[in-house]
Amino acid sequence: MSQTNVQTVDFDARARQVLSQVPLLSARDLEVTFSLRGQKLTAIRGASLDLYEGETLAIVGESGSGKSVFTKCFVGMLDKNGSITGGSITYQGEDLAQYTEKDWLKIRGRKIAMVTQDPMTSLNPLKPIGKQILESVELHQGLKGKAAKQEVIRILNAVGIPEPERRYKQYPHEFSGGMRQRVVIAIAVACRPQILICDEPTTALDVTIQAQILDLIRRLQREQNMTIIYITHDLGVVANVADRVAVMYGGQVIEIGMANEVFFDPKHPYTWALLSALPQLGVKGEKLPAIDGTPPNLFNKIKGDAFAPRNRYALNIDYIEEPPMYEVTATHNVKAWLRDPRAPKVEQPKAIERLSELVKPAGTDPNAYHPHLDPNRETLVQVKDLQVTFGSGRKKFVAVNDVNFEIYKGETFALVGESGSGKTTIGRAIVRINPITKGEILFKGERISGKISKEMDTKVIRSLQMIFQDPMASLNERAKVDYIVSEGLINYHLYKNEHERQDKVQNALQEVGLLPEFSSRFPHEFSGGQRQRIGIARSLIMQPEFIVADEPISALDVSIRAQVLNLLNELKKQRGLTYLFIAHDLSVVRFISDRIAVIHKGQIVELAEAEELFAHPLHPYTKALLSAVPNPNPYVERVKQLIVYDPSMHDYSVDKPVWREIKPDHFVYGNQKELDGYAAELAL
Amino acid sequence: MLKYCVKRLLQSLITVLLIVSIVFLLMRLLPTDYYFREDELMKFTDEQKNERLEAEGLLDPPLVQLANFYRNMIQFQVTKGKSVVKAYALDQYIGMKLRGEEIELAKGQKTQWAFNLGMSRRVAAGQPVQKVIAEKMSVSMQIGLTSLAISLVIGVTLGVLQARKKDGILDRVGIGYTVFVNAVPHLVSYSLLLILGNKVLGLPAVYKAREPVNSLILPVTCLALGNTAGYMLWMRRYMVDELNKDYIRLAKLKGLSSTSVMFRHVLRNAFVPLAQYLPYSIVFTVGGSLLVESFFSIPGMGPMLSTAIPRYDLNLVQAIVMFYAILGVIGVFLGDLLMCLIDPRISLIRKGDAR
Amino acid sequence: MAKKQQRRKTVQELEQPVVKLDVDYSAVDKEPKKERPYGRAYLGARSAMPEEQLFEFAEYRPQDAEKIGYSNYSYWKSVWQNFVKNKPAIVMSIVFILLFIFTFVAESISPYSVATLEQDNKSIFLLPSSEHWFGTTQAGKDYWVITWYATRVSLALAALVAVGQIVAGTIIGLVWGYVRKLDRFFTELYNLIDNIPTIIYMTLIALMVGQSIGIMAVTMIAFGWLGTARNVRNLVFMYRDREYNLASRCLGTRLWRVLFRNIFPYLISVIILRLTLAIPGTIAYETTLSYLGLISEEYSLGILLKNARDSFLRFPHMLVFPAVIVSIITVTFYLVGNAFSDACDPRNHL
Repeated sequence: MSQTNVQTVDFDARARQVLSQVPLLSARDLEVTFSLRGQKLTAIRGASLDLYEGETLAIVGESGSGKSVFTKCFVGMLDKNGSITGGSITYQGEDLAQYTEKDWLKIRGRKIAMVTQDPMTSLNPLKPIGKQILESVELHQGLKGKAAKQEVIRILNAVGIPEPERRYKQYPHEFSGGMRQRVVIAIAVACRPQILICDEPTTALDVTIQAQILDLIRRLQREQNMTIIYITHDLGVVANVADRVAVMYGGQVIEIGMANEVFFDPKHPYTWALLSALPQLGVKGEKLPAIDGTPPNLFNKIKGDAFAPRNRYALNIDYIEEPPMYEVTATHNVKAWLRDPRAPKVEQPKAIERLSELVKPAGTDPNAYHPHLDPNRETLVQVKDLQVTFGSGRKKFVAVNDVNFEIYKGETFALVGESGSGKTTIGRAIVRINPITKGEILFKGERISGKISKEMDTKVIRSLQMIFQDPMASLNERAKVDYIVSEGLINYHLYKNEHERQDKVQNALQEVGLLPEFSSRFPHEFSGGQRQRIGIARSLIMQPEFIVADEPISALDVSIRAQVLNLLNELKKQRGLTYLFIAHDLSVVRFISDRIAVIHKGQIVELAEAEELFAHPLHPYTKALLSAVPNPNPYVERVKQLIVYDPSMHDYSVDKPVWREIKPDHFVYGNQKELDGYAAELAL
Repeated sequence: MLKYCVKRLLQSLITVLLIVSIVFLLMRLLPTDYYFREDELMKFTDEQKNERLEAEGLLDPPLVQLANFYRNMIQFQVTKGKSVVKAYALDQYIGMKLRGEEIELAKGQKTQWAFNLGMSRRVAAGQPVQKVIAEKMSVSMQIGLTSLAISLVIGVTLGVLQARKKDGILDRVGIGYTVFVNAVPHLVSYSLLLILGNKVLGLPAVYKAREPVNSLILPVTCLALGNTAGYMLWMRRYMVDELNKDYIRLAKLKGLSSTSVMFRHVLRNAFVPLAQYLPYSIVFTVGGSLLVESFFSIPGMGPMLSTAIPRYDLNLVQAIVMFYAILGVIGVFLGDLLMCLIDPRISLIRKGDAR
Repeated sequence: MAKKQQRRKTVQELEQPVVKLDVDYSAVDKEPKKERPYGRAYLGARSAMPEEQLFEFAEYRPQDAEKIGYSNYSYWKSVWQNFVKNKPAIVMSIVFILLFIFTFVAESISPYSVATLEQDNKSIFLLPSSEHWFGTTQAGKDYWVITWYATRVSLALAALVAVGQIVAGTIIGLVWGYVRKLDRFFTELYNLIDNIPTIIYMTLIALMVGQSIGIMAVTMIAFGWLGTARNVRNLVFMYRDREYNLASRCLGTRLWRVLFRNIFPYLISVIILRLTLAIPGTIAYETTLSYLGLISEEYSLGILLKNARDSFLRFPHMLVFPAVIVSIITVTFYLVGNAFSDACDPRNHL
């Protein structure tokens, strides 16, 4: 172990604590099978796990790794078509795997409770939230009447819901996503469980809200002395919460150990790949070490190690036999043939070592070209005083207001904000999907917003393209890849004959790393990452100069993200593309973009060069956003100070705010008094 | 809330007026012969006919007739005994009052406000149509409400039981029943019930005024048959929909048994979409069931239209259409209102504090 | 279970030790360590590869990695597979197809024909016999040929009306859903018509225009598009702003192409469902209209059922034959429609 930074958490002490205990719950060789229309899908293929009292165990994995199914077995909540077909789950001397629905009533909620993923759909829409928590309290704490209600109000307070008496009577639709998740947590906590399973409780939430929820969970754990299983795909979140980490792949636990062991001294090639693919650990301008391919299809019988086809360090034996679990330390186990004494010795990838230095910037290529620093920089897209409103009359809603920025040729300009901030609206306004209300948008000095000539429209369509967020929704399921990719070509008849069209399609597919033979297939045959690349091919075929990439990686699995980021960077280099990269995740943006604009409630509050923004954030919202970004180094992440942004801190009643360049290429939004303060801050 | 109601009622009023007007105008396209009774047609010469038509304003342009129709909808009538001596349209009456004119009454004459939609010319010659309709309503309502109550209780209960043990024996039988009732034309299933009731239980095959209770058993059963299947089908479907929702998972995770989850969460939520159509169904019991009442020759609202139409009793047809339009509009309106009351997500007044 | 025991046995036979590496026990309290080394691996049937080679690096092929996530799912194939599994629907379909073919044959194998039937007061209400296979009517006409003829009339009417309703409904629904400006107009029109039971309109039209089967068919179409149109409109609403349609807009795809290539394919399952359900709906509706005297046609299944009303308590054959045929037709289409809609639901695929 080579971490140089201060060890803010004593993982060794925790390890000793763990080793001195008998496991609270232990799953052995669990196998779960789903029957889907005659086919069998083995979602869990012999996973084992021990859980110790008082700890937080994080289970990480991509979608389809079985992490969620695995934990559902602990509360007896498998879907109807699934069943435990092997192994055992020992809890309090009993085997939960053999439990009937009636037996579960003794355990579920009472002993083991669960916080579900989507707060928007998890609450009964027709019941006041107080009543929903009350059910838990009455059932598990044996309280009745006034006392029960008092307890509910106490819990509402404890999970950080202001004005609990008033809120008690309100219905779920009157709460925001973050507040609803607090209610869901309140329901689970009101059961006073011994074990709390959190199934991606923050995935659907914004980063700042996520950080608050994580804080809340940790506080509640301390107060109620709960044991927590935390399921997530986000390594930053793992770093924040976990004492121990279990990595799952293809329905198995492939590596398990104390958080410091898994993060700083991982032994499984998959864990290596997962960590090195993190954009936070990438060097700007260089390729991220991506994992090729996609997670395995569990309908097929998997022979040997499920990860083998994607593993650069795969041994011959990986294709033949499943590896056993090797012990690295008493708390650290790895299921990989590389740990066998007969296997060749392999050094862990360099990128992982950078993890320990994560306090500092990930590093940039010093020779990299930054278009905005070029004295002859050319403005490609200019947005002037943009305003976009939706609806009319009383329902009128200003989505974007008074937005100004310029994008220079050849740069990647990032627009970062939380959901509902208007970032997507701006992107769509540029490609003319959303009409604008005020202001104008210029492309190479020509106006492209509002009413434009037909030739101009064609020009806009051919030079400005968009990549969409959700690879599942952005492809027409009922059309073949061939049609999808060549849709633009067909519209403008950009080919001489059928043969040329097919050639163009196949070239485009190859360019995004897909096999040309894919063109005769339908989108549903592909995984998320592949579909996203089909979407990119569709835009590329128009030979655009400028691409709006609307959260192109946020719906993808961790291991896939790096593929798409690399592809975007590669294309930019080869074709001299310019990107507007829309994202909610600052860590990704720092890796890929030259300049970053931060948007809040339809207003850009700060705009600066990427490193400058990270080094000298000025606007309080930027600071809050930066403070909330999860950092995959547990030592750093565990002690981070959250800054909470409260918009009411601004007094704009007299002193009106302006958009000001406070330093070359660093813009900030604020009134005179605030700007003076920012300037003073910069001078320090 | 009040604002919403007023707005909706106004909208409904416009809908009704629009429909009535269209129907009224369309009817004016029919030959004028239909304004006479069958015996009058035989008797009268063309001149006599024209005179009559002229006198009743039936030769005026259709739009003028329409205006007169609405003007005379509410009348101030002078009556003697049972017959109306003179009638003033609402605007005439107000005009007279404003001018200070008094209506002189002869001996034995009385005055009254009346709702006037014209006289029935053929089905119940000489009677005001609203009176003809009113007489029929109560029978229809009896049948309708009874069968509605029966089918609601049985249908909802069975639907719930079906959803609880989905794919169980009861569910399969229930599905078979709903398929049968929904797919097979009602005329066929009614015939089957009639044979069964008549041959086995000896119930009357057509309505007999002398044994009203026995006569109504079969019609009520027939009506309930279809409605029950409907409630079963929808209740089951909504229950299954709700059971697959995320919040049910959370309720189970709390440790609630599946029975508690059923009663505390699923049942109510599944009933909400059904409830929307409940007022409509209740209101429409007044309208009677066309097929059932015709089938058993019950003197209710149902067969009215089909008797009035072949006999071209235009005023009656007009009134019936208006009556159904009003029922429909009110039913829908009440349904929406009920939804606002039971579903907190639908708010008529925007609450500003959702965070 | 048996398989699993066997597996354990092999492990023991081979006596393959649990592999442990650089274990540092210094920090470990060894006491409760009974269960610790978990996930015992087995080195079962081994391939022919020599052991040294087993632990050499395998060749890495990114293309293989690209292929592993591939699934061979096909929507319409799954729909078909699911549909075929629905036994009642399949059985009824076969029965219906036989019945349908028979309607064309039935008349020719009988000595009578509809065109030449004449009133015969001597043979009123005869029960089925070798002479009159379905018996005779109150006019002494052969019921066999009448019934089959009526079946053809009803089926033709149902097919015509169903297709008419669905075509009208789909077109109106597409326009209603995609052209935002027309939404208000169609919604009001919908409410106007929907507020009042259709039977009232039907009665009015019968009164004003006429009661021929043709007019009634047109009327049924004119008032029957509503459900389909609304359904289609809601679906168009759902798909209209999906990202793939936004992408088409980015690529400059014309409106008709978006409607035809991007939206219409998603409506096919709903349209087929609506079509299959419109047929029994129309047939049932026709019986009601016939019974209420709104259709003046000599023979149709509805008319036969109506005519049977006065006699079937004494002469059940008047009811039974048309009733059974009508039921077979409606139940078949109802079952097929529902089976198809279940099969189309992607949640049932997987």
